[in-house]
Amino acid sequence: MIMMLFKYILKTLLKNKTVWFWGLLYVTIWLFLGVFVWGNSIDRNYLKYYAGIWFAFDSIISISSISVTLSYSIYYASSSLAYLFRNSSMKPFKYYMENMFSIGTFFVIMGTILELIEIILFSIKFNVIILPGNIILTVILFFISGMIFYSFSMILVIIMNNYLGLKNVGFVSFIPMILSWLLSYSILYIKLPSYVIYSNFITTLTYIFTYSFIEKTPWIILTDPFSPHINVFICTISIIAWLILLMPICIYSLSKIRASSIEEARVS
Amino acid sequence: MKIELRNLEVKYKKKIILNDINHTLDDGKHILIGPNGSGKTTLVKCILGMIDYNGKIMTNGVKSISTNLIDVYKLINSDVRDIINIYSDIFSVERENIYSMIKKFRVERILNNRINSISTGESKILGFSIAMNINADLMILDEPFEGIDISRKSIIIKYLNGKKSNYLLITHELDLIDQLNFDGLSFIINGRIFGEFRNVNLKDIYFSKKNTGKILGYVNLGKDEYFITEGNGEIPLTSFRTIEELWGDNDAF
Repeated sequence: MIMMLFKYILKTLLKNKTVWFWGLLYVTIWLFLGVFVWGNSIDRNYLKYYAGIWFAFDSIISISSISVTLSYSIYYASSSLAYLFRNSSMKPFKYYMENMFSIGTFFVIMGTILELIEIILFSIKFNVIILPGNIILTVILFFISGMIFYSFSMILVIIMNNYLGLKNVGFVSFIPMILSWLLSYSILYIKLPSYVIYSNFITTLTYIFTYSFIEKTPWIILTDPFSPHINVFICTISIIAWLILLMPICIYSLSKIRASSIEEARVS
Repeated sequence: MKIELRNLEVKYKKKIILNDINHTLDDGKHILIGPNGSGKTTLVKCILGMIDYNGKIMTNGVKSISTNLIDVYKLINSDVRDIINIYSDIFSVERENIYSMIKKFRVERILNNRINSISTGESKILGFSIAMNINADLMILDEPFEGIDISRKSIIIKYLNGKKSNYLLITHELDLIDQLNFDGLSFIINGRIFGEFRNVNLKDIYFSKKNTGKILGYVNLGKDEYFITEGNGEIPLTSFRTIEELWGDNDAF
């Protein structure tokens, strides 16, 4: 039964049109605008930096958009999970790990396609091939980002499902995406306080995604070359801390999951 | 095997779904009859540990329970073939046995359909086929005949009569029960359980407003109370096709 669920969850994700629409097509439209509309005025000396910022921004928006769909998958499976954890050998830890590996793998696949699209669009516009500086780091980041965003969504949905009623599930599932837009967009133009920058996984992941692409320490205000540099080490520690923190909370939340009625949600 | 329900209560938005249930299930085949909205599915979900409740459910010698509730098999929104493969792996069951049962019901067409797109009857057959193959200490079947045609109902009855392990079958359809072998019979009405009546013959059970025959118990239908009697009474239980008919303006009373 080792990694038994992995292939089925991955297969379901790969066949999910909604996930591909929001995870790839939606962000590709933004990327297209970034390259062909807003990219006209870009200084060619900063081209790789510009590509790196778009890569980071698009990756975060893509992952957070998909997390909306993934939130619904937890809610959808709540009855099944509540039953299985009490009546089978499937336990919250095992389910969590298999889910994380499937989702992490899916984000690596989708992220790789996103990277290819970006390389193609930039090469069409600027006649130069801009490759990510550290491809291995980008792959690791897609994997970790998927795990963090999914874990965060999972906790929110289980809290709603178990304690606060089904009416708010729809809104709550959008929280990671709303936060991603707010925080990732903010650091393009605003210097956020250090405690905000380093304490949340959205800004830290955006910076590290940028770093993985440009292989240089990004500026705190991503579009301002005169702003100070970010501390990559603290960002990395913050991301690892989030990963370690979310995992036990998620497993505990899963162990408490209660069946929700799909019909009840429809009328809520 | 023994499952004891003690002062079991479930409320949803101030409405009482299950009302102070005290009931014991031990080894054997049990039938619980109740109309729609009487709390049958809620009771199943409580026993399966899927929802919160007040009171106690004590289990002795019960490691796992199988069920035909389709929500239980919605771990992912995939096709039925994947669902069978996943659950046969989780419960270490030969998936071919489940496929073979699906074929006997002549519903192989559902294998490539998404689990969310199959009909009520098909989902009951799917749930039944998986539940029957899981080697559980107890099998709980919630309305296994719902949405199923008469020939397939006969197949279900044949499987159940051939099954040696414990089960609890919950239904509102009375016309099929007399074809089943069972050890105990009880009623669930307005969130309360009446019974269980052991080793009774369905044909000998009557509902009576007056105290006639050997009284087994009573059921409270809200506005009326009826005695459940054995051997003699006003209306034989087998004269109802479904338990809901007891609520109708029954001229017989």
